Amino acid sequence: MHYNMPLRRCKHALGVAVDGVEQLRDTVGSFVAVRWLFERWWPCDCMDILLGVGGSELSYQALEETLDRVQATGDDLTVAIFDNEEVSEETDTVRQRVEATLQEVDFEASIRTLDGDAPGSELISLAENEGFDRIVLGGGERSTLGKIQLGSIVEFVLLNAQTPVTLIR
Amino acid sequence: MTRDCPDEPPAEFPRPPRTVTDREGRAVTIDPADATDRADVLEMYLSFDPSDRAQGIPPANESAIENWLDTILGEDSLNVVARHDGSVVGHATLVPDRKGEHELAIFVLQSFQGAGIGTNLVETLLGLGQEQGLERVWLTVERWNDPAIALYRKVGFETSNAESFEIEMAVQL
Repeated sequence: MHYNMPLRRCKHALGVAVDGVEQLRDTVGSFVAVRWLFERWWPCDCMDILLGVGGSELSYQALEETLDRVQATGDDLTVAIFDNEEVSEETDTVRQRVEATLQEVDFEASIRTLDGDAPGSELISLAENEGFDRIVLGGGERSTLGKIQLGSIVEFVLLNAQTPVTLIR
Repeated sequence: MTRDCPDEPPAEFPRPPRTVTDREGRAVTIDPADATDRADVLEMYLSFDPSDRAQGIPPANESAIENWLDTILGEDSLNVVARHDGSVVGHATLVPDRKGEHELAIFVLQSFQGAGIGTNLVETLLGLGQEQGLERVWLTVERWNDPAIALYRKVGFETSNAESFEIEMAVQL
């Protein structure tokens, strides 16, 4: 991934590296010093990912796939939960399911809830105000006949976001 | 999403089987089709130009086409095929959606496009739909696809939702 962003420490990549080091600490002798060096100097061009989940099947699929991806890359993940008018799930239910999924894979992500009735717009504001590198959404559901269609939230985000957008399908 | 119903009384559409002559003078038969026509329909889609795909269909590879045909040639769907010299050169399908209405899609092989076969296929499929008691048929079409939009208008479809990426059109049978 090559984006214009400052290098910064990345706690997940560090965690993986430190796990390996931890097993060696008896032989290395001075684990504390090694860890301190890692935390201070381990460079990482990880991204801050903002994943929107509105309760559609595709949005849960996007959650699963994003989790696989951030675990591999060490990216930081924030999950924004919103009310998608096109599906019947309440935001509380969506939040519980997101929390359960995160627990299953033992991954720490921030969870935010977007309260208003314009989730697309709120997702974009959040991404821009807090400097996220990428917005991820499930997008491109198929009708029974098989035609790919974009929901109104995805469409709004695609047309208005300054942040790069990834659609999972 | 609101779906406005066209006000005019529904037209009477021609029913299959039909034989028409296209604008290139080719004789084309239009018949109902089902799972027994699968091999011929598959053959058409295997030679379909990928640049003529619309909204992800027909799928790009053979196994995905096979899966897709399972749905659209299923018992709940209505299909017609256009044949010339025995080969399938066009196919139109009506697949029930989750609301009890039917979604329409149509594909014509590249070398047979622009000769009026598409219009005949859609009209005949709508005739078959009337025969089977279908009430409302809808479709989505990419905004830039002017030839397709013109065809659907000519047959009687009216725009029912223009707020999305794709235009939704519908006709009452």
